Amino acid sequence: MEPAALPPGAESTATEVLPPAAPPIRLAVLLAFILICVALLAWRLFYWQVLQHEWLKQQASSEQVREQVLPPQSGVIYDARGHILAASVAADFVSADPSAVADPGLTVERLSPIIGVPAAQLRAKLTEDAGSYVRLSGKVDDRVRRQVLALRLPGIQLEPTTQRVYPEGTLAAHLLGFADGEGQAWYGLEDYYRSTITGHPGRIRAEMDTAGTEIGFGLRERAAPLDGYDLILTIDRTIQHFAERELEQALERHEAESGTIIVLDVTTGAIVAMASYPTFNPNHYDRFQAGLFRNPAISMPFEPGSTFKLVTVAAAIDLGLINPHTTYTDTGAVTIGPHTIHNWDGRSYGHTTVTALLQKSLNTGAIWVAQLLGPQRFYRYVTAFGFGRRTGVDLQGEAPGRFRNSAASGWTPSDLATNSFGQGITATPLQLISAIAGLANHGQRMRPYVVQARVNPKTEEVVATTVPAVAEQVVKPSTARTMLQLMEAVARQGETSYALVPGYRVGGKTGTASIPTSDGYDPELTIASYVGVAPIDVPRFAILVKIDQPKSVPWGSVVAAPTFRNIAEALMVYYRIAPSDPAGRQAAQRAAALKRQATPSPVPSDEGARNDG
Amino acid sequence: MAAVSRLFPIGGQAAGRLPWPLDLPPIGLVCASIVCIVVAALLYLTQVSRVATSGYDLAHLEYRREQLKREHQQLLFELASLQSIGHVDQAAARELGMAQAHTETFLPAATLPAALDIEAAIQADEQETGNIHPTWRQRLGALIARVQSKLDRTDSAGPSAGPARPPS
Repeated sequence: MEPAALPPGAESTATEVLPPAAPPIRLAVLLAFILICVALLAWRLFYWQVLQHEWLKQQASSEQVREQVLPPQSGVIYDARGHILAASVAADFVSADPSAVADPGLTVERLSPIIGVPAAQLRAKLTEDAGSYVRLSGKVDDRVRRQVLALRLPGIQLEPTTQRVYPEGTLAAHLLGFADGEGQAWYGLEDYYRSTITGHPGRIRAEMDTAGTEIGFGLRERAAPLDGYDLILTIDRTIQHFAERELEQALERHEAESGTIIVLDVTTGAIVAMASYPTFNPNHYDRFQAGLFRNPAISMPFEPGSTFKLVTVAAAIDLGLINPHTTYTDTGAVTIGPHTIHNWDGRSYGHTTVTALLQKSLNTGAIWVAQLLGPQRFYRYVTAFGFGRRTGVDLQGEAPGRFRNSAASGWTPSDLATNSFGQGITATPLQLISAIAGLANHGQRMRPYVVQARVNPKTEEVVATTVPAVAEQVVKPSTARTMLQLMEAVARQGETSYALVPGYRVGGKTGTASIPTSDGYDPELTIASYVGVAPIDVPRFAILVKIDQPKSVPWGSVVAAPTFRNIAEALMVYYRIAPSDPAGRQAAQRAAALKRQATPSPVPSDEGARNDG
Repeated sequence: MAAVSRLFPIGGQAAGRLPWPLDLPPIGLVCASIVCIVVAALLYLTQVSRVATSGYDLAHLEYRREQLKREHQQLLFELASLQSIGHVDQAAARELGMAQAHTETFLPAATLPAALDIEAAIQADEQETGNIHPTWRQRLGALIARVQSKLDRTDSAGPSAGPARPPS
């Protein structure tokens, strides 16, 4: 571009304008450096803010947001009258973040005596564990919790949880089962109704400040836990306690190892009491051997012995083959194949009625009845009475029992003979008493049950009620009536009146079963039992007493019948059932006199299904 | 510049043309707006602060509620333990000196005196004592009191009652 022309005569007074110089190289370098730095910063910014956004967000969340499981409140188990049998209370685990423990020595010194963990063990946990979490103790109660909190030890934490407690101690332990330190339910009702009782845990996510306190206006997501339902049982703790006490006394009196008592409401199948010994304390389950936790009343089948004769006779009466007055000739021994089976006393009774068969508990008579029935019909009734299959009771671990019917391989006619008086067939105590209760309920066998209702603890609304269910019409009502008369006749006969209850009409049958071994039957040991119904005129309760291996006397009439009488008497008083048998008082007073005798007669007055064959 | 003058006119003429609220000059309005914003911000901060404080209070109350629930559960358990049948059994024997009852005696109705006619007995009692009670409750109470006093007299006049029976 040409410079502007000056007018003529004018002199140029301005300095000469130089063309702009090129930017120095240093400036260009600086500019480039700055640009590169800005670009790098922009890239890092992009990297962290965009590319690493999620990760950073998670990191921040993990620092600020704490997620915690909210344990549900487990349901309470009540007895039929509203007494607490099992409940949950708050407890804590003591744990630590070893990296945050400032002074391990001091921490061990202060903590060890409070939580009851040996110092060496505690020190090892705090120093050898490289992680950020270590559990230092099992569940601790509120008292220990307060003491730990008061110490204010850095790095020591409390984890809230719940603990199952059983305020009645050993009462109904087999029936209840227990929950272990981790809250896992084992055995009994606890296991059977695990999901019902336990509920479902909730969860909370909340933003915390640096002190670990929840920020009020921060993030807060809460899913409330679903608490478990309460259970209301059919068990009455008073009767349960009485049954347990009577059982212990009977075992002590007869130097027996173990035993079971069941009280069943015949009209509904509700179990009023179920006691077994030896037992355990579910609060301290870890101090007992695991073998004790199984409920013998439902899990340990035994050969019922002579009590089973009621089933055999009921089947034949139901089919019209016999009646209480039908007679047969008792020869005292029956030979079937290579086996000869005798009566328990080795005697023969000649011309004998069916009533006398039961009163004297004659093995050969039971065989005669079973042979009248024939194997098909006999086993059909045995099955209908509920043997060989589970009763369906709402308890964990029920065994079905077993017998070999005529269609099974290896069955022989001697099986029919021995089965007829309750040997060679196994049943749980609950199966046996459930079958007898069927006779006392117009021939209808009810499904036994323990839980009568499930209740929502928050609304106190009954969410489910157990409706008594008929498992099977086993025999005709007329047969059932006849059987009750026979049972009463058996209870009243001779010296077996150990079972009689003053003022009440009762009926039952004794059993003295031999115990099978690997090579036959034990020649000495027996299982003494009694199954009975009280009162027999308006049946209300069926009671089973089973005493294993009594040393003093082997006979059910002496060992088990008095315990039946005591329990039946207590039931009549407790449930305010009016005496119905003034005329029977004489017999009852006689029974009471027998009861007062210091040592019961060692001479058996009846039965025994002792199989010589 | 002209556009700015139109937006923020200076002078009474412009004020006369536009209906400014509260008769404030525009500069005053700007200041008022700033004050309002500051006040609003302060209010917001106060509220946030209050919510935060309330949040801590809430957390504390929730913690307290949990504590009370724990204590409630613990007390219920202790109550149930103390009321447990085994404990009551032991306490009755140890602290109250009670003993287990071993025999129950049933008295058939036939061996009792003839059925009591309560109404007749009360009337007889009223005639005997001359006291007329207006309500059945008082009448029954008076009768029971008289029967009790008679029984007491009988006991005191009779032979020695022998050793006291253990309570059952």
